[in-house]
Amino acid sequence: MFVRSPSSSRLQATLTLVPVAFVVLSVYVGGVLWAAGISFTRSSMLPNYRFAGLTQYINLFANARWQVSLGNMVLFASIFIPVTLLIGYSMAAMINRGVRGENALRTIYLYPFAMSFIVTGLVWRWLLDPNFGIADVARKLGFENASFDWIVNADMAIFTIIIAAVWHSAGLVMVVLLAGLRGVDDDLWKAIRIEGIPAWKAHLYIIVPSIGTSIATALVLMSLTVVRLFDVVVAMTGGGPGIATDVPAKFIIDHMFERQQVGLASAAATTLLLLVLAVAVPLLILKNHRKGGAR
Amino acid sequence: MNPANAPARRNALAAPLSRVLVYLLLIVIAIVALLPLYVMIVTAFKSMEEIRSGTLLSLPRAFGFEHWWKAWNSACTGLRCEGLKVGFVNSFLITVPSVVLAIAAGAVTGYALSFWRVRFANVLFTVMLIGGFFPYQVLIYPLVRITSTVGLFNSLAGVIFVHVVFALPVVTLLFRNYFASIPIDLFKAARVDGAGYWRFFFSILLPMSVPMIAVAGILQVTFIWNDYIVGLVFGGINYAPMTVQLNNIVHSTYGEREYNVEMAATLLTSIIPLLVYFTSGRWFVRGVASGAVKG
Amino acid sequence: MISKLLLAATTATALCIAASASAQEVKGEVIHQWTSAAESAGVKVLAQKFTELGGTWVDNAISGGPNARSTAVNRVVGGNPPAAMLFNTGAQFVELQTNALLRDLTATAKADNWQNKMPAALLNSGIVDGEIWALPISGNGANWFWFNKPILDKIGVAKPKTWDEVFAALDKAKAAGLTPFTPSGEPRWQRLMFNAVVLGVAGRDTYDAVIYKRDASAVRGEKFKAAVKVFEKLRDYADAGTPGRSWPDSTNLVISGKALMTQGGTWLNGAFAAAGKTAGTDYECAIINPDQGMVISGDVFLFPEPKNAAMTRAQDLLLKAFADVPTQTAFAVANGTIPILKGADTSKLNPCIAEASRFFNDPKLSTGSDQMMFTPAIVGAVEDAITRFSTKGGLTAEQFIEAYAKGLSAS
Repeated sequence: MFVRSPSSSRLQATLTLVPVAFVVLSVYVGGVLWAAGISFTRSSMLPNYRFAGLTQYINLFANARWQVSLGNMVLFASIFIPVTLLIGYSMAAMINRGVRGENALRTIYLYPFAMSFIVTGLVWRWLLDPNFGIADVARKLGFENASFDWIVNADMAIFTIIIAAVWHSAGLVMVVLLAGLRGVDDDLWKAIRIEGIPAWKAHLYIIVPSIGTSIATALVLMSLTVVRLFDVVVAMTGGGPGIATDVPAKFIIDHMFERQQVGLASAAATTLLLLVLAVAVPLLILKNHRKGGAR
Repeated sequence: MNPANAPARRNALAAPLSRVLVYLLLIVIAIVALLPLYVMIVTAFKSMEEIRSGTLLSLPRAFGFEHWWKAWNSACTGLRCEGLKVGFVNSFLITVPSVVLAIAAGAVTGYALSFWRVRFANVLFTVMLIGGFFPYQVLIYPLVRITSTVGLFNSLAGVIFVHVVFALPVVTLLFRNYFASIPIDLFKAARVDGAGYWRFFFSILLPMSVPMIAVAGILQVTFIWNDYIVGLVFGGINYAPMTVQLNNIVHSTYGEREYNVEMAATLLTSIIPLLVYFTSGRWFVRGVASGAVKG
Repeated sequence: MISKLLLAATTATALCIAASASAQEVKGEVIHQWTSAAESAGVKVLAQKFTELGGTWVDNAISGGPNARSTAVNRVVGGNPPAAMLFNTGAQFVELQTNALLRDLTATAKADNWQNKMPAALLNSGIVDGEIWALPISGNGANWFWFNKPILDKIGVAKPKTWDEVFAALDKAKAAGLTPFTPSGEPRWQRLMFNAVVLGVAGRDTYDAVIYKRDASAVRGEKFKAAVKVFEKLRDYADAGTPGRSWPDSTNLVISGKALMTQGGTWLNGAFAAAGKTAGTDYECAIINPDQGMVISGDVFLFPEPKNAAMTRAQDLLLKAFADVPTQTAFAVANGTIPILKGADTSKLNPCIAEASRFFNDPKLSTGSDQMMFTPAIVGAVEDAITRFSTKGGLTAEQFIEAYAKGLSAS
């Protein structure tokens, strides 16, 4: 099933990987292990090596902000990922059919990704402002009772973050999936046409499975967005009202820098990574199991 | 690719009515996507007085370019009143080599990981990918120590090095997954024809990967051009990117905020990524699948 | 590619070094977060003096205190420190000192007579083990309330001096269909307002016990509880747009006559002034229950342990410029902050700043901010508690008091 490669080529492949492996080991593995080590110390502004046992972890899990952050991350992921994937795939499928002005449309869908959230977050804040945002426009159009106060409502504010994040990421997911769709074999489309399979069925059962790796790429990119979620929150709500829209990355960065609690921040980062592992490892095992160990 | 096939494929799932629907949907999504951009553009033209008193979506009473000019040329950040243009060259100096190197490193790594059964390749890839989930702010301190030990701290090479390291997981993921979707027959055929390690990569794989190179380029240009903290910390005062000025203009803690200048500054800062998005169009030509082998 | 770039970069650096050495420049890079118009004008005054003394000011403005400070710290750790860096007055710098990364300023302070030039509260916060590590540069008053004067006139109320008068004014504004109160909804300004209420309601003794002694029993006491109640009442007058709103936006609502009152430090005066408003006719500033005094806060310059003689020389000149009375006064006037050196000419000050200056220079009428006395970890912990209490549907008064008391032992 796999071509036996001459050992010289495989040696070349191995040699190619050596510098990468060196960087990955020293920065990522080294950095993560170092941070994990720091999480067992009393480090405040600068890392130090005074052992603190599990103190940082105990403090972390007693911290209401951290609990809210984790809850928000889960809620955010469970809405943001499926919605963005659905919208992104629909756009890619429509564009892939060949439309006039593809270039312009693709750029329009993608442009939010180019903008720094420092300011687009502010624009979203304005749009969603209960007094002079969209609600005000609706009122002036004659809908006198229009009101939209999610952004200042502690129970609903996280959904405004999701709206802005979907707006930001949908275009990126679209281009990743579009690149995948562009790799789909012509023969497959021909076969679908000849068989007369309905569009939705063809997409769901034939096309989606055949671009599985692109979807996996999009899922990883979206997961990265979820775990690293920071700028949107800072720009739109600053984590508020109160601590209602706090997220793990904001918790970590606040404590790492402004609050000079490097030990606590490292404990939070380590915990976050363990959570990622707890989700990723079963998925990887499942995937390898299904493939039967093949590539 | 056989160009004669393209129109046939495009019509495969299309009926006249559904085409109208597709365009309608695409346009509606485009309008929603453009709404925040519209607000930014009209705000950039309004006077502060008009911003305070008017509605969000109204057109400016007069179109003046003075806020754009101020953002580019004379907005003050600290002592220097030279606007965004100061960091523009630095952003270029940082972004171009970082993106090229990141894509080159990621593509080669992805190649070595996907077609060659290198020992521990999957372990390496998994570790790298999971490392990508670690909040990178936590890695800044170890990276400061590493770069200062090897004498790269506060140099252009240092900034580029850190960017490439941070880009590696995602770019490798993109290429590895893309290569994984390429039929193994192609690889076998090339091997039979006697293509060596690098020849297969450069003359067969790379031409097939243009859509993915475009996606990787889009991603990394955006990340690196919009990066703030890496440039600030590792570049020092001589290589501070444009986003430092943008942030200074936008985030003056104790100042009166000039929203029109902020919006203009954000739009000006995004011009380069936007240009990249638009010109990436011709890279999004349909990729080649098994057709390449047969044709 | 990397090696080529590396080569280019090192060559460039070498050329730079050669160029600067031949010119005999005394370059001093200063990292600070003063990026607004008024602040920049202030920096200009300092830079001019430094230039006059023979130095070359290398300006590194990074907006956002945490951004500027963490960048500066990373530069110090990475072995390429700036000549001077701006921190808030208080405990932020202590760890740099314990890691031997800061220059000891004691000798300079003695030679330049800082003891008699500077207010003790500010100078003392930069002292560890009897040695001086920080140079105070600016001072602010934090517990001010700001009113739109035409609205006060319209509802027929004089500038409030007591909490009862404040609430009466708010009620009248509300009855007149106006927005009574638009505070900022950002956590750090909510903390600032809470401190203003603690000092003004619970009084100086309770305030000092909490802030200076971190006394949890004072937090659980009756006086503190009374302050919490007043804060809660104020919170309920805040408009619906409060959560997350920045202070300039909140101040704009008062400037433009859309709201009666907001809260914030002396820096709000700059926003009123920039909008062309005059104190006394367009707006009023007041400390409520002023007998208890003013909460002072400020900024200090830190000087990293110098890497070479040129850097020491640059720091010497910077220290000389920053501690010069006329320069410091001109800086404060431009910056809109309180002149902190004794003997400053206060005749050119705006009435609000002049009044703040009077509090500032009277030890009986001034006390330190939480940021001056707490570690950043404690500031953060109580800030979390305050912002949760400031949100409707958040903590109850009792839960909040417990969270605050616990926060005092955060580390």
